Amino acid sequence: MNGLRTAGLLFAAGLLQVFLPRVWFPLGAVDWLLIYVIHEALSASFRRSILVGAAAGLLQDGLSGGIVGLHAFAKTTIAALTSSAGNLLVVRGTMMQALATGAAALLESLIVVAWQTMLVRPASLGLVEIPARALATGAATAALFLAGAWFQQRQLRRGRARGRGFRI
Amino acid sequence: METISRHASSVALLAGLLFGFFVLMSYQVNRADTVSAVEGTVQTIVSPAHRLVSGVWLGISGSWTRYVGLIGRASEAEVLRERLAAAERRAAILEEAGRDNARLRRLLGLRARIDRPTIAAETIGRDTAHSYEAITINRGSRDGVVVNIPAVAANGVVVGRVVHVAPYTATVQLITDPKSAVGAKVVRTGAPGVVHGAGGATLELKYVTSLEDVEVGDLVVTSGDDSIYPAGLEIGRVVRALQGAPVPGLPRLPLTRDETALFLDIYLEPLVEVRRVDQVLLLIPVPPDGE
Repeated sequence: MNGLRTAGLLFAAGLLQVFLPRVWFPLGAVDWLLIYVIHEALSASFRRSILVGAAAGLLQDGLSGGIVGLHAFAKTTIAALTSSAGNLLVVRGTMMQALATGAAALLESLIVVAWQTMLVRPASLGLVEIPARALATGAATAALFLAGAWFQQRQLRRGRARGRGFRI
Repeated sequence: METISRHASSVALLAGLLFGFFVLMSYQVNRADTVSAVEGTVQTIVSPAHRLVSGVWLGISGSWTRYVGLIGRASEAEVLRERLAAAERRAAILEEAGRDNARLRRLLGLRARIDRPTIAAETIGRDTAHSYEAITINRGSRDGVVVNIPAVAANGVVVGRVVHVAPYTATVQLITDPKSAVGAKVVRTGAPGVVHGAGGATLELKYVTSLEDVEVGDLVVTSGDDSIYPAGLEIGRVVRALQGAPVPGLPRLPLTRDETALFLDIYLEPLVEVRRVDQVLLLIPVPPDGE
């Protein structure tokens, strides 16, 4: 069940990755798959993190049509590093999550470009796109977490209101 | 011990994954045929999702484009409707101007034919509910208009005579008014009579003796006997000519009805619809020689 949920979320993130740039091109700078990978890496086990990272990377490779394994390698590495860092540091709150995801996006871009250089392939990201992608992904993470917190509070308020109503 | 083992297996899994991806990438770079095989496999796996997204996107973007296009068409149609309305207004104005132009040309042509001074005037009011059928024209005493000068239409047909003059306007009594009287004659036979309004748009030619020969279709013109209308101006055509009523007091027998009637009942149709005349030419009387 947990695996299905993960697959569904990965699929949704992949859809966003493909769909949103067609709506508005700058939204292509946000790596939705990475956001989910980092979220899993900071909340799940190391093994699960790297598996999610590998699956997300392979999905991205399939969707982007580039070298298969490139994003998978990068995302698996990032998932492993983030999971390890998450055991040493306390990463909580919207700002910390956004910073972590932004940093992860920056590192992932660097890994991808480094591999492309080593494989004698043209770099898919330029000097401006790398930080822009990090900023956009960090900002999207913040927006997602804020929205999630708002929904949680709303549900909490509704639950309390229902509870009071029942007691009366 | 178990934790260390689990951690070691996770690290081994990570190393295996990374190595596998490395090998996969290396294969794709070194062997061109393998590239397409691997890519093809992955593409086959993800292509249903890709197609789904593309289909949804194409549907949404197509609907949006059509919707936006529809809005654009609607506003474009509104602009075109406004332009059409403006063009129709302009066309109506031009058409009216064309008609005015034609009438004025006819008036000018008539003015050239008539050997007396004339004043062109336009109808600015119609009053058929008044004590007499009349039109108001935009010329008055300041323009030299005086009472009793005749008014003719652009085609030279008698319209009426001026009965009241103000500084800037004048009232023309129409020949269709029952109280108007125009000295007239039948062109074919020269039979004299007096034209009165018969109510509505018809005229009556009175006082033509039953001895005269008058037929339907005969042209009736002014005779010049009334000292108002110059001779020869067209009035109308005979549409009905009957024997009049018998003279009261005369014995009815053995005389027939035809022999007892003094005058003919003659009705005319004006050659111009005088109530709808827009421009008239006022014929200024020429003073007699020596005055």
